[in-house]
Amino acid sequence: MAYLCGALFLLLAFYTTYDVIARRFGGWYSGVTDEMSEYALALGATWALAYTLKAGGHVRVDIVLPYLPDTLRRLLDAFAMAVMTVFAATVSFFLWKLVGSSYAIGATGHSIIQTPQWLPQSVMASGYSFLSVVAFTSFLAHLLGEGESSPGQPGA
Amino acid sequence: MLILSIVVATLIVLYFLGVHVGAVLGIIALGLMTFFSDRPMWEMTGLLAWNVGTTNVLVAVPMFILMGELLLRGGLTERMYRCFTAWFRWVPGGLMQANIATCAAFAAMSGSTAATAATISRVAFPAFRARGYYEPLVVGSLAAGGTLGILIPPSIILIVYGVLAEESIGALYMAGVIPGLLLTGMFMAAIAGMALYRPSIAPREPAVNWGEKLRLSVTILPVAALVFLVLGTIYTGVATPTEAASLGVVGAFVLAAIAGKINLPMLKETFLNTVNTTAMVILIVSAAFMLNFVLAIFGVPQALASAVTHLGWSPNAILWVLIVFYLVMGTFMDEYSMLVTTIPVVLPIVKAIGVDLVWFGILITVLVEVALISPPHGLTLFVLHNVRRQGMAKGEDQGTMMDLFLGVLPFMAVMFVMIALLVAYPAIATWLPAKMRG
Repeated sequence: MAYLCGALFLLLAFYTTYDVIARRFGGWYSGVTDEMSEYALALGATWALAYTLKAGGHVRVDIVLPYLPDTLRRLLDAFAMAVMTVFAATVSFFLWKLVGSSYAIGATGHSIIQTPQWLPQSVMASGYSFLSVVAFTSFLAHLLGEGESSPGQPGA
Repeated sequence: MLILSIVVATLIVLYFLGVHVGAVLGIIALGLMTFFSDRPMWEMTGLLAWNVGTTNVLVAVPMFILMGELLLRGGLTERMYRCFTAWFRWVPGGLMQANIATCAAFAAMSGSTAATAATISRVAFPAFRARGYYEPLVVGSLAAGGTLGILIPPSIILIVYGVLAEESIGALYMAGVIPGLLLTGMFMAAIAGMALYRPSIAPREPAVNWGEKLRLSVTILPVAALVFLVLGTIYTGVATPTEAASLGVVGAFVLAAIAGKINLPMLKETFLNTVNTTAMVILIVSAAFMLNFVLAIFGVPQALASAVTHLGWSPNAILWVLIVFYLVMGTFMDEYSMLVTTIPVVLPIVKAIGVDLVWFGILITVLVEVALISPPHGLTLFVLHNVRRQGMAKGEDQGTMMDLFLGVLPFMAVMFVMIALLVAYPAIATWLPAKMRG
């Protein structure tokens, strides 16, 4: 899934470049790159949230963690994942509510293609939902002592 | 003020417990919504996540990372390093000058500090050891040079600052140019000075003939052209930063393809690194916006601003307090955490004392640069330490973290001078953007 997100960004780059060049030097261009790239970010960034959590890419301040005994560190890892689960689940819940109301009132995007907003919004909502699921499974894993504890590496 | 104290206390506790920065900011926002307000604000979390996740300027983040990664893996760093070595080796300090120059040049193509430093050190370490350079300073120069990545545009940190402070990315990028070049020059001068004062730290290298210099320069022309294309289109307003970054990605892809470096494993690695940083940035910025929103509802920024103005201190005194605050925080926090955590609280203060927000963005960036290399927890230091260990044969002297701490000290001193210069002469940062705006 992370590969897919990366490839999407590369494709987006080619598409935007084409549109910019066509706009500058004539030729047909779509004129909706702004909106398209925003949706690509909505997909590419949020679907990668869970992968990044797994890969340890989300920043945390770990100046105390590496020096703690194993058990304590595992418990703190579990605690971190629990907080992440609550946050991600809340955000995804309200994103799904947003999807619902967008669908009900038929909200559309700001450019000529009139994208129904519930479509990209549900993409983002699933990204956060997926993050909360992965955070919850890692929480359980840390709690049961099966997950990999965080090593002593600072930052991203 | 009660709310602010609670927020700060919770922040500190959760950070030290090792909870992810995004989750901390988000959970505090949710907590405030639940316990301190009878108005239903929860719905806003979804809307804010959606707004941030579709912010047009933030699309430039994955684009610039992708561009840098492609150039890095396309073997272009090595080429640049050889070229700058040819140009600068005769200067006192020899190959260390090339370190700084290459880092600065690479900074103009990528926003990542650690990647820059790591790549160059992989190329450079064996040569340094063979020629008897004073190693702590070599590592120090790489660490310091690496931090230029976030000051010289394109910089991811400046995008994040621009989004949080609602300032133009174009203006910030212009403001970063002169301080970036100045700092590069100051680093190089500092190395030359040390090498002249104590010749034993660096052997004098013979100059390279002009034919060789020109031949090597030709090999980096395409990259240079790409950089000017990307930054030029932003500065002239032909394209938005996002569009310019897309141009850069395509250009970098073509250059890497010509060099024959594009293949599936390489693309996979590039993609993973790109989405990793992007997702990280999106999460913390989204969470920061949620916290900002709640704090704004409670009127915290206004209260803070008026409290600070009532202190009756001079703007400069307040600035110096902030600078010290950032320097202390920088010893244990990474650049992104520092930025998203402090901006909501610090910006109202800075606005209240009438400071230019573009200038302040540059000042913060230099402060964050110091954080990246400040012992004991500078991120760049760890990256370099690992690279150095990997590069050594078994049984060879591997060096210690102490070497690194020692080696970065002179460069930190140079950065302090830079900070003082920025405060004394704000025009270093503000002149160029003002000029371009006309």
